[in-house]
Amino acid sequence: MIDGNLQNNIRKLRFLKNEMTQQELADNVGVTRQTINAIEAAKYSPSLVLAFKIAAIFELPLEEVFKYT
Amino acid sequence: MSKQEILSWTSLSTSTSVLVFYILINFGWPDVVPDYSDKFVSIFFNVFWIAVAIEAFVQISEGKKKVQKDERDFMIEAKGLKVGYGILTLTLMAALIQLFIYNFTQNIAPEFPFTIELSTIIHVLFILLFSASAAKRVTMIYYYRKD
Repeated sequence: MIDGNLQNNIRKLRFLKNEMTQQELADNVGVTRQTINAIEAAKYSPSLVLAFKIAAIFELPLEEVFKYT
Repeated sequence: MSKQEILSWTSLSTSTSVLVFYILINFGWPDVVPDYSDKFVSIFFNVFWIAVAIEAFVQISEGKKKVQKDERDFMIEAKGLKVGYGILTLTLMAALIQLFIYNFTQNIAPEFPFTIELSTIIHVLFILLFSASAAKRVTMIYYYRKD
């Protein structure tokens, strides 16, 4: 079994997208701000649907937002 | 702190308070410890009503928000429920075994030393019901704090 970590660029992408706040991103994808914070800190792995929703907000493919290392 | 985390804290406080009241009413204050029951009751009475007030305030103030509960909240709640359910199952099994022993000893050997009274079994079940609820909330708080 491969055992790795789900890393992400959400913090950087938020900054590049007019310094979007965690709350704005959370509202756009339908979760709480705390969940976005946990995802950013790589403490919580989002569901596939949520991951796709986040990628869609940044208009990027999934692999450019999340990386499994 | 998210709404669900605050609700976990308030629920833990109310469960603990009810548990303390129930134990004090039914079993009284232990003889080996100096009697602080009045202070104890006063503290937990305040804890109970403060928790209820916070819960009501959170429900009203956060009720307007778009997202009340998301996938992470559901996942954490599931972990809490798993722990609570485990405790309840073990308790129920222990109570059923005790009931069996109680019936058995009442009919065959009334002097059997390990028999627990029926009323005690009911008290223990009630206490463990609230303990399971508290354990569920403690587990949830642990996972909220961990993240």
